[in-house]
Amino acid sequence: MKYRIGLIALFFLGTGLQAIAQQIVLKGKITASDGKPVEGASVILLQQQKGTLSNQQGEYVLNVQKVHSATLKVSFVGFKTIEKKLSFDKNLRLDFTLEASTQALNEVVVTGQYEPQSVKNSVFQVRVIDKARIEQRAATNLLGVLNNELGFRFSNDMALGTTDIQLMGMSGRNVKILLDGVPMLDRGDTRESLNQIDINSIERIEIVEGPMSVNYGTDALAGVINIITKKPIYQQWSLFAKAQEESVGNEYQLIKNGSEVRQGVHNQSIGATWQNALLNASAGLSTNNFGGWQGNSTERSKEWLPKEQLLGHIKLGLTKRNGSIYYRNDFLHETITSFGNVNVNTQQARDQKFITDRMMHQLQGEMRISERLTMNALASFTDYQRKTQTSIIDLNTGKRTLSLGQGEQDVAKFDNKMLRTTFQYRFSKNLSFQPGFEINLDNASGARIAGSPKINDYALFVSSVISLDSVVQIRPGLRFIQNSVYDAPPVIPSINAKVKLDSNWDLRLAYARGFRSPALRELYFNFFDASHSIKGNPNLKAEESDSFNASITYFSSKENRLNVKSVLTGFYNDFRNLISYGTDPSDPSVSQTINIDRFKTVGTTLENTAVWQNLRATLGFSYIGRYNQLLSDEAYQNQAMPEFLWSPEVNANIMYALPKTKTTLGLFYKYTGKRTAYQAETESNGDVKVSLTEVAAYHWADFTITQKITSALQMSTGVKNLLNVTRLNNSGTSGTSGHSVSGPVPMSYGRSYFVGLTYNLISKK
Amino acid sequence: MKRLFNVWLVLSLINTIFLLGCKDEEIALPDNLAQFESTEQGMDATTTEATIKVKFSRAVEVATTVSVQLTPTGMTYGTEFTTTPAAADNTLSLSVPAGSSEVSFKISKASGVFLSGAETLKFKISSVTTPALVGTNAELLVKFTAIVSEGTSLKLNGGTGGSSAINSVFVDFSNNNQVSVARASWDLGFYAGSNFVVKLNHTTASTAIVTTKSDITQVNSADTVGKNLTLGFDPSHFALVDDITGDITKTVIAQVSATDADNKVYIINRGTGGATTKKDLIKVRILRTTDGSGYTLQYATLTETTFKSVTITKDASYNFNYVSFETGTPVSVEPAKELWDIEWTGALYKTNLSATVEIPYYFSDQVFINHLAGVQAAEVLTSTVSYENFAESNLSAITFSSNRSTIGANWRATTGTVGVKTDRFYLVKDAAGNVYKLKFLNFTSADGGERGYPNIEYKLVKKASN
Repeated sequence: MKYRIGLIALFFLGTGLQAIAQQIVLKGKITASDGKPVEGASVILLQQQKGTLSNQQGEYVLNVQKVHSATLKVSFVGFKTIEKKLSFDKNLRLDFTLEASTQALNEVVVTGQYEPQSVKNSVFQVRVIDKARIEQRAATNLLGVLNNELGFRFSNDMALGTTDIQLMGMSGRNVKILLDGVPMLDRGDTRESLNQIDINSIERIEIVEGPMSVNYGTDALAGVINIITKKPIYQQWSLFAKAQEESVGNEYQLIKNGSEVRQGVHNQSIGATWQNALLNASAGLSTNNFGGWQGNSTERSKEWLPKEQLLGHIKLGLTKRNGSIYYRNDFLHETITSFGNVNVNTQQARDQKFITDRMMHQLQGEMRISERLTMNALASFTDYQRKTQTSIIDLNTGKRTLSLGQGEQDVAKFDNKMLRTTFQYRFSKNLSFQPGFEINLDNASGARIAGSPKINDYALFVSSVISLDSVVQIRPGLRFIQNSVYDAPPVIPSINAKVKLDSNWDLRLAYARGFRSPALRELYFNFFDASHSIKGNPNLKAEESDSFNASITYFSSKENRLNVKSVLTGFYNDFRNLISYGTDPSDPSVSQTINIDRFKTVGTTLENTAVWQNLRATLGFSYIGRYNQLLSDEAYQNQAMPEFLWSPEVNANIMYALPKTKTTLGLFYKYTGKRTAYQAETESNGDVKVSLTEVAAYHWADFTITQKITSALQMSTGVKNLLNVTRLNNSGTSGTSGHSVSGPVPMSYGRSYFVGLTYNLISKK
Repeated sequence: MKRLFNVWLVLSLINTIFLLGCKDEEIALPDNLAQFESTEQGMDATTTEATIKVKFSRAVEVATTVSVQLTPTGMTYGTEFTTTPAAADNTLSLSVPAGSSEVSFKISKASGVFLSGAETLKFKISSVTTPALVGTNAELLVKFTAIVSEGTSLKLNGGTGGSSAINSVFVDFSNNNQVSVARASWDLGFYAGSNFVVKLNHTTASTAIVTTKSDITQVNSADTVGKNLTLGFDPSHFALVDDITGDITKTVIAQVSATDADNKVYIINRGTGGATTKKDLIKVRILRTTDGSGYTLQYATLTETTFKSVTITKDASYNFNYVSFETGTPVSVEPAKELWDIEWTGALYKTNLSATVEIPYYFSDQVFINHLAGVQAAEVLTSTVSYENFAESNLSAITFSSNRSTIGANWRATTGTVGVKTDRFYLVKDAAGNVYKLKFLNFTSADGGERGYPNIEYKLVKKASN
């Protein structure tokens, strides 16, 4: 869309001269070095100030006057600019291949945008983790990429074998995970889905901090993580295959010999893409097997539970001149196994499997109705099932039977149907509107879910971008919600502003209201077994927040050999009505979800990226304060305690390419400061005493090497968790319910080594 | 078009691989076994009837028939004894409806028949309809004398509810017998010994407060103003409950005085411990009967202006005689005091809130000894001597305790390494002087057991000298 505006401008510029001189036609195609067509690249004949932009197939047509010698400039965001001096005395066909600029600091992003937009022009502050970085991390799952990002922390549930994220001091349930803009369905408030996406299918990760509730609805309080998948290459086919073997700490087995699971991480992936002028298709399949880690556990049991994943996707698309549409299917089959120790009394052991199946269908399309009006639509259906299977193995006979205990065999089913349609209407150069609507239909069933509840959520939203002299951009937005189950907040407002201070400096300011609907699980999930008495509460309200964000961005001028980007941000979030577990008033022995908690976060981050020749480095710092929640309890309000508990983080990434040997070295580091909390204790005289507890700080570092062997074959190797982090000392008890952690907090399984081979074949044009 | 077809072919191939990979291991349910609770049982001279149970591992899915063959020695069916249902050709045919997990039959001694004590009845489960199977305890020998069991394994029937299992289970080691009673089936226990002591239901964490009044009709909700009846994590709340060690001199309800005017009205919260359903508050006043042979209980809900009365006669063969407000009658709870050694139950005990502060706390799976009848117990660590090797000669080094919670909840762990503690076992000396060694086999999912149905094993170490 953007380049179309430019096209019109350039067209008007050129018309006056057309009649006078003799005309010739320049034609050609612009592709990236990976063979993909580049849409929206600008082609300008400098001396005549005539230019055009390439279309979706990368093709351009430019009418110019005959000239003996002139310079043609081809440029696009994220690529090195080409300037070619030629004689333009007849019609010419000129194809260009653009090389990705190592100075790619100004990536194109889509999250929350009306149309693809450069990071610099986005009214939101968007963080991008690009493909080069993802590949150099040699991660086998997304957490392995995000684990040295500022503001990201993880909490591991060792009983269930799951990991939840925290973003900017907020837990995962306040973070929205999107796959190409479609929300991932999770069974509860732990963002397991983040770990259930095939890393090999990812093009880049876009992270927006702060509420995106007007655009994306519920959950997007702390921010949005949008996973952008790889797209087929125009007029070509490609094949992809990868295998990576990795140790888990000091445990590794190439083949399973006798043991119940194969130790180590084993990651294999294959994929293919194809596209012609009309149709495109892609498919991929990955297995990702983690053998668990024994750690401090003994005998059969493991501290980190083994996890086996099968992940795949199929995509079919159709592209026409004025629009495109595609169907995509992503599926997951995951088995997490918890092995029990042998009971010497009976020679029996209890094993538990958590089996998750997710199938996500999406249909997405865009249509250019007119020069001013475009439409984007998406429909998705996600089917999610998680089975708990508990069995007893008799080691005398080898016979395995199902266990009979309460709550030990269970199938929970969730599904979500979603429809979102947005229109972008450009009223004038300085004013655009984006109205839209979203429908979400959720269903659930299972032994632990009361009834077969349904939640229907309908939302209308509208936002607008107002530009003032291309210096100031203001984007106000509103979302109206109607929910079939609970009283939704009637209207959610937001306002974002971007001020271009000069060509290098941008200022962004934002206020947004965030909200999180009570999840199905919080409304209806009942769980009574040997050690749980938990009840949902159908009378919950939505969680709400007020968020204030400000950031200043500096982009160094393009001419410099040293390219620098710096972003300084500050934020303050105030959350109300947070859903937590309290006591059921009708039965004090039962825990029930209630809107009780208050929470605040405040903080600042500074991120710097520098690109100089073959070196790309980042250095970041964050200092985030989390609200001291004891203060929200009247019993502790007279205690001398600070309102916020602060924790620092520092990260650094260095990627250095050796062009001669085609080797890239990567060093990835993060320091995560200690996290403190206040803990209350009753003394013998009945007085309440509060004491400060802390989870220790730690340093994380990975070192990786990638080596090109042929143009299609690449090897990577390295060491992860160089500093051998396993558990963090914890002076208190963190968490008060079920899977709380007392004593050391499990963080990882120690220093690991990996080696991988990637084969990526792209057909000739 | 051919190209498109090829693409589809690849895609469907991948899909097929995926579907093949998705086949989960199907695991069968364990065999459903029908068996006797133990292999030997006694009927002493005073016992005229005995109920024998055939237990299934779990509820049967279809109507099932169990055939039990009986072989009398020294006696004849119809003359010295009969059974209900009646046997035909010395075979009992028992029908188990779908959904039921046990079936029982009754042995009745004919009256006026003299037995020497050497007579026996052997029962054998000869068949059971599929899919159920006959288990290992397929034979039961009933002796017409009191027996002293050599030991056996028992699966205690705590009932549904998992960690909040609905039953208390009383076990008599020497007779291989267990009796299950719903925890919520009673509200007050009346001591049958010489004192006039009334206890609250500690298995539902019942609480009580005293009022200033002695006229039950004058007590209403105004008497609860400013007072707390809800048990919380507060050290002061020990005052709301009976002594957690089972000391009958330290109950909330004061000993019942012979002087009626001294007997105040109490307000009772029947407790929600162990997932017990919340019930109305009850006001009670307890008096001695005029002849001093028992108690008169006056009770009503707090809002009522009239009250009901129940008379409880002391039956000295029991520790306590029980009453339920729901039925308004005496109810049978614990077996006669000579007929149980340990009680497995969810009940109130204490825990540490901090290093120095103790609070009342409801524990599942507590094992109390019958301390009022003289049962004693001791804990033995396997680091000293193993369960298998423990013999009569080891008893000299053992100090027995009468503390009701000697076993308590010490035998299992619910955090850390969850399961029965395999580093210890227990000794229980019954009131007659028989000493058994007792081992908990499993009790919860993590140790291969089922919460609410703990498996125990015990063996006779020393038989009481007569």
